[in-house]
Amino acid sequence: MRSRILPWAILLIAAVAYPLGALAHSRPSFPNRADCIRPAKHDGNLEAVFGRFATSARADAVLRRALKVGFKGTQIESDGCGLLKVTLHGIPTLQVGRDFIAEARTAGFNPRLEQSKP
Amino acid sequence: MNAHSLVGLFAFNVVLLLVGVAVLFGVRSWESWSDLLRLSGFAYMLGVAATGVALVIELVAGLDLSLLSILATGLGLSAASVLAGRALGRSLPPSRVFSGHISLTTAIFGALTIVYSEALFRSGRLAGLYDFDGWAFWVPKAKAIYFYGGLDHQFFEQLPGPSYPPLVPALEAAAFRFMGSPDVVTLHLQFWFFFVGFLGALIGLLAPRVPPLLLWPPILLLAVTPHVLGYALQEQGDFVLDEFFALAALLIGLWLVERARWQLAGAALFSAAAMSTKREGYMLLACIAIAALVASWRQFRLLGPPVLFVLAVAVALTIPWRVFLLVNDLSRGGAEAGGVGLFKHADRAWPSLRLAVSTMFDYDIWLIVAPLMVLAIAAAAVGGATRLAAYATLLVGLALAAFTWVTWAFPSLPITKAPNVNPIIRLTGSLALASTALVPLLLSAAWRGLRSDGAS
Repeated sequence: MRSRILPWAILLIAAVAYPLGALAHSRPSFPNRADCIRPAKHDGNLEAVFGRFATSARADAVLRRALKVGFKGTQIESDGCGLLKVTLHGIPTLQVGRDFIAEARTAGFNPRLEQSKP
Repeated sequence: MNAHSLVGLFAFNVVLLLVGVAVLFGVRSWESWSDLLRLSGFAYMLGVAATGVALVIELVAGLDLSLLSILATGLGLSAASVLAGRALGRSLPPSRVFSGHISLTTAIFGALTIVYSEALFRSGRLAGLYDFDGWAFWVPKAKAIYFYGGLDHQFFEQLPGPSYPPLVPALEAAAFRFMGSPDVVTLHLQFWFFFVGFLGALIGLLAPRVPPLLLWPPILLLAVTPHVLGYALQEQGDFVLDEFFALAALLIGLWLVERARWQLAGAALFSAAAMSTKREGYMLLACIAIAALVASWRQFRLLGPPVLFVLAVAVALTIPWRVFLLVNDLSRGGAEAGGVGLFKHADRAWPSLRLAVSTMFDYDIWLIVAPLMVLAIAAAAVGGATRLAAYATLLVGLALAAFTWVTWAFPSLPITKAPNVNPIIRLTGSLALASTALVPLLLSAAWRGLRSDGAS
């Protein structure tokens, strides 16, 4: 009898445990725009984001200004949450990123260091 | 997304399951109620295929896709299937026949599959409509059917992929009807139902034929491949096509070994559904048919005509859509290079073949699905299951040739795996799913052959 019940019990536990565990952690919620911003926490795969914009005209203006002062490689791309971001990829470490941000501030920008999507 | 949409979507899929159970009764019936439980995934996919093909024909005929007409379609299909089953002498098993015994191995793998399915549901429940083809034409077509009732050929003409048959948009529009609104977020879960139904169909069909240790690992391997995890719930026709193709390929493979008529009936329905999903369905069905005919060459008189009959029935069910394209002067979706154009672009042949093969064997896309298929074919051949091994070998070879042809015959496609400019990754999905369907069968045949050799 036990050999008949045990397999079904395993299936039942698997079916119930995962949803309960997931719901205990957090209730389902739709991701918002803030969830698209991933602050830099460790070295590797970093980018400096000069800003997020709802229109390509505003993003273009910031991009042109960034390129003009010498931030080569800066580009516009979708942030996956409905906005356009002006960003510079390829920053290897947090220290390099902090130095870059300090330099950008002297040129009148206020970029944010973020972790790129893998 | 709200609870109303979820309940509506669940109701729609219960309808598809009930239609599928009726179709199953028409083609095969079941020996016990546990048998029906085992085949519930297969029944569900039969329901999806039958309803989808019927809705395409209704749309072509100019009928509106209202909630009432969808229910009437399901009822009509069910009644016709039950009557056909009765006419063929099928009956229901006694109500007490239910053997609920499953092995511990099955329970452990089943538990893993359940948790995987729940996690996939969780990832899809609030997914956004970001994939290009989804928002560019698959979902707009579904919305057009939902808002205007039927096919607005002028609207379809303006969208990319006008020659694609409307099975997926029709099912999406039907899902919208049941949800009560064109909820494109919850719609991802419709594709979750399709995928879970497909996995259930594979398991249900193969469980009595394959030991659990040879059955579950290949299926779980497919489920965790990067491409499946990333794209299975996208609101497009590609995965649905792959699922229909894989089931048709499996049923023909089973028929080559067992020769049960219901396997042919199921294969015909899934083939028709595949061809009603995307135009590549024709190419893929040709691969199955040629592979089956060549693999059964020695008994062609016995095995050839049924395969050709399946082909004819499946193609016949797609004729209304081809007539619709012709009558409305819509693009019929031929190759860009045309027939002789292939020779003009002969320099693309080798890079196209290399692209197809390297994509199929790319660990970052399909893990080891393709190498496992090669090993399983070799093992089956060594184990004495030569017909099945030949069928699988031909299917792989022909499918790779077909994928090569796609890149070769469309010179505007760059030779790259980049999914936004070349569909090669999506194309190989059909072979990856079909391989997963056939690998347990091949391994089981090899295992039986090796055991009988050892015993003799």
